[in-house]
Amino acid sequence: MLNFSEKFLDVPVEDGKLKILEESTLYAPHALNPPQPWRVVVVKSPERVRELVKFHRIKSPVIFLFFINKGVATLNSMANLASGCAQAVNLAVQASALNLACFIDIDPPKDFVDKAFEIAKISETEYDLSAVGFVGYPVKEEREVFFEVERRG
Amino acid sequence: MVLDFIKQRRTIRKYKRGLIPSEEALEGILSAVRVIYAQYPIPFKLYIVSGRPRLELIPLMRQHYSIFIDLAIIGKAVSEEVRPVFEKIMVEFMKDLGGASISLIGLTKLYSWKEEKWPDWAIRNWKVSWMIAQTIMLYAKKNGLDTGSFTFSSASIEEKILEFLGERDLNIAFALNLGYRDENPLPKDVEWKVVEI
Repeated sequence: MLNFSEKFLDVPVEDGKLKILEESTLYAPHALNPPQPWRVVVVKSPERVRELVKFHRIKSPVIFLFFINKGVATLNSMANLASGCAQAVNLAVQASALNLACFIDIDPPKDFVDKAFEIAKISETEYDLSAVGFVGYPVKEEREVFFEVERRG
Repeated sequence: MVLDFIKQRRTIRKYKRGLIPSEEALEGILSAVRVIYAQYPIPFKLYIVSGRPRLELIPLMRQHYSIFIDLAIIGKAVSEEVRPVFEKIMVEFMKDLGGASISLIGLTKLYSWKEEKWPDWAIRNWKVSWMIAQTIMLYAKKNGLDTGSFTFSSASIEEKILEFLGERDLNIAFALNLGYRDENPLPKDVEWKVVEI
């Protein structure tokens, strides 16, 4: 089942798992096959990640940025945005299967978006950031929860 | 393996007629949708249309056919060379929407397609709706089923379908078929557009 988390361990994601996650994002639906209108940037160098998470409440060791071509008309650009979000769902489903967790942000803060374009070296006039996927091993919160019903007599 | 069903998901236009997905398979899909919806609450309604109501939907969709073909050609989604094959597939598809036993129609609040700039709330509703659509498509595949999106690009047809469903305040975000495939499309051709930094 889908495993969403907002807290991640400061543990890197293995390269083998990262490659599987990356591949999963390429298989989102889109009318044009190929060329698909997207570019996926995976931020994994600790230095780059630190630069980026300064602008977001979620901190994870790997961040997927789903950039989507703006398209030529509203229908076209909205279809592209939909594909970007479908890519993020693929990421979440695949991450869960690898015992990782994911947090998908579909409307990140403006400062974060600006920084994402800057470090990814992608043109804001040509592309939108349709979704962001934070990935890592989830922090397992130890909470003892009880709900017991006992009948006597 | 999960990557396999992600890679094998293709838009299916021809389904085995009369084969109805089990309640368990449908519930497997809907429970995944509930997880997504819990993360991203928006105004949303999912119609599961089958049997007679689905048959009544077909004539409405048929009116949409010629517009769809034209848009596909103009938008260069279909080249002139493959146009005859594409048209043949679409004519066959439109006879009974591919013969799938179920159609799923996702409704939310959207903005006007004539407007160039949409407000943030409408973009969010659109994005979440398509996250739900993709979740349906993936978990259908996981449960041995197939799907295919059938597009709406005409406001007048959308209006008729909403009237058919008895909805006034919502818009159609997506429409999908659900059933067992009766065709084997080629594997998806993808470009590796991933960069690590």
